Amino acid sequence: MNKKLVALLTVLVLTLSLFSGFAAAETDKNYEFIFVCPIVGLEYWNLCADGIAAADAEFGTSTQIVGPTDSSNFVTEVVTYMESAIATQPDGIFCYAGLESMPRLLQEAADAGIPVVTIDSDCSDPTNRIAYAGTDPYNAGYASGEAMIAATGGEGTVAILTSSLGSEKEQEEIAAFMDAIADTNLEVVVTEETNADLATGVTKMEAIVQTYPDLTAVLGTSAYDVQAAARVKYEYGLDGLKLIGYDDQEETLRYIREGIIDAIIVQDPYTMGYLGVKNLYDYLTTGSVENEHVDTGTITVTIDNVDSYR
Amino acid sequence: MGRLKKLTRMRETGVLIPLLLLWIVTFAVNNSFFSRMNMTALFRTVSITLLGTLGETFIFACGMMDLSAGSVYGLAGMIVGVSFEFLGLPTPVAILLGLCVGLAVGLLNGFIVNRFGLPAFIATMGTQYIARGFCNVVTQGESITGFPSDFNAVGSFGFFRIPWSVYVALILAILVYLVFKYTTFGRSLLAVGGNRETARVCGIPVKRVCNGSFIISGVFAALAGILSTARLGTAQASAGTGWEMTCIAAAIIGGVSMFGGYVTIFGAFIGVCLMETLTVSMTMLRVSAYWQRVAIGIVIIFAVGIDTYRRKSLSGGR
Repeated sequence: MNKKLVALLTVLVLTLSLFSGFAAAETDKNYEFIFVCPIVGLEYWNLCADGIAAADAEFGTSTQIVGPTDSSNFVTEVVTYMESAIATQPDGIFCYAGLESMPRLLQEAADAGIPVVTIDSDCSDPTNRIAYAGTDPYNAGYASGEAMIAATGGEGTVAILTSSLGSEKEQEEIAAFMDAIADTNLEVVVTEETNADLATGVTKMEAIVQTYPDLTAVLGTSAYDVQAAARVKYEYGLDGLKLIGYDDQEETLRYIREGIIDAIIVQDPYTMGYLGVKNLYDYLTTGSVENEHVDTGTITVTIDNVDSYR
Repeated sequence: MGRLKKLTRMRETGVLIPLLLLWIVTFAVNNSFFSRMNMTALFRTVSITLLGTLGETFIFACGMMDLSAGSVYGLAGMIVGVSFEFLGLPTPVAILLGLCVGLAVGLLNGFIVNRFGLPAFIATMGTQYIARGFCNVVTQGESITGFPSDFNAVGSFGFFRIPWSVYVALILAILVYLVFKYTTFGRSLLAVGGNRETARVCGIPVKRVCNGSFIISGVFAALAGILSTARLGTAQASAGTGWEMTCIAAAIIGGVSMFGGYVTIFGAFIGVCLMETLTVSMTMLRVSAYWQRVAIGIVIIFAVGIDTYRRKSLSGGR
C-alpha cells in the first residue's frame, strides 16, 4: 500500500511540475494578468483569447485565462474563479461582468488593490472597474429586433431561445429586442432556456414548433440557440420560418449561405480581448486609460454580406 | 383480476403512473403531443439518454456510479469529428475510434477503482474532468461540422421513418435485459452489488466483473455521443455536460437500486421517458421558462413519492 501511495504521489508531483514548467516559461514578462472567462473553450471566447494573445505579444504582458469549461453552472463557478483570481494577487484582472454577483467581487478586487477591466458585458455598478470594452447589449439587442422586422415585415409570432435566463447581458439584449419590435405586429409567444447546449436547443425547438405551428420567426440569443433552430427548420422543412441569431460561428455562416438563417448580429470578441489587456497595461504604466468605455459595435450579417463582412 | 393485481404489484408501475399522467395532461392541453413528429422527436431523445442509462445500470448493479459518462459522450463525438476533419477517415473507422474512447475511459475507470481502491464516485469524477479537458484540448473548444453524408445518415431515419438511434437503443435494451436475466456475467454483477464480500467468497471474479461494467458504461456513453453527433451534424466540445446526471436520475427514478443488487431495464426505460418527457412537456404545456425547473423538480419528487408510497402500501407499511 505504501509503495502505491509513493507511486501515486510521485506521479502527481511530476505532473504538477510539468504543468508549472509550462507556466514558468510563460510568466517571464512584465505584468501578469488574469482573465476570468465565463466559458473557456467556447468559440466566441477563443476569438477573445486570440485578441488577448496579440496584446500580450505587443505589450510584453502575460495573461492567464481561467474559468469554467461548461455552461451548466457557470453563473456560480465564475464567482469561484473570480475569488481565486483576487486571492492570486495578479497585476490586473479583466472579466465578463454581466452577472449579478460581480459588483461585490469587483469591490473585493478594489479592496485588494487590483485594477479590474470588464469586457463583453459591463458590471451593473461600474464604480470599481477602470474601463469597459464590449458590445453595448442594448444596441446589439436592438439590432436583432431590426433584423427581425426586416425578415418578417413586422408581422407574426416569435419564439426566443436563450442560453441562460440568469445572464444579465442576454436578458438586456432581449429587452432591447422587445423595444425594437414594440411598434410592430410581432408578438413573442414563448421564451425557452437551452443552457447553451445544442441538443437541448433542438429538443426545445421541436417542442416549440409542435406547440406553435403558425410560428413566424425565432430569435436565438447565442450561437448554439440559432443553430438549434436552424437544424430543426432544415430537418422538418419549415421553409417559411425566419431565424435571427448571434455570433459568427462557421456552422452559423454555412446556414446563412444556405438561406436557412436570415441574419445574425456579430460582435467583436477579438477587440474586446485586445482592449482588456491594453487597458490594464495603459493604466499600470500611465495611470489612465485611453477610453474608459468602448462599444466594440456589431455588424448584421445576412446572405448579402456573409462573405464580405470581415 | 389476477393480472391487474400482478400489474399493480410490479415495481415499475409506480413510475409508469406519473409518466402516463404527464402524457395525458400534456395531450389534453396540446393535442399535437401524440403527433408522429413529436413522438419521433421525443423517442429520438429518449433513445440517446437510454443508452447512457443502460450503461449506468451496469455500474449501479455492482453498487457504484459513473460520473464520466457525459464527458465520454462529448469526447467520443469530438474524436469522430476529428477523424473526419483532420484525418479524413471513413465513417466506420471514425465510429470505431469514437467507441474506443469509451472503451479506454472505461478501462481507466476500472483500473483506478480496482488497482488503487478509490471509490468509483471519485475515480469517475476525475476521469470526467480529464475527458472533458481533452474535448477542449482536441480543437481548442471549436465545434466541428461538415461530416460525410453516410455519417449524417446514421443520425437520420431508418425503416418506417424511425430514427436509427431508436432501433439501436431498443436492441441494446433487450440485450442488456437478457444479460442480466440469463448470463453468468449479469448475475455476477448483481451478486457483487448485493454483497461484494459474499460474491468474492463464492468465487466471483469481483474486479474483473467491475471492470466489465465500467467498459460497457463507457462504450454505451460513447455510442450515445456518436449518435447524437450524427443527429446534430456538429461535434460540440461542451456536448453532454451534465448528461450523466440525467441518466443517473432516470435509472434511480425507474427503480434501479443505486446500492447495487437490483436492476430493472423496463424501469430504467420508463425513468428515461419521464425525464425526457418533462423537458418537452414544459414547453408544450406553455410553462414559463422561469418556472420550468421548479415544475420539473416537483414532478420528480411526486413521481418517486408515488412509487415509495405504493411500495410501502404493498408491504403493509413496513
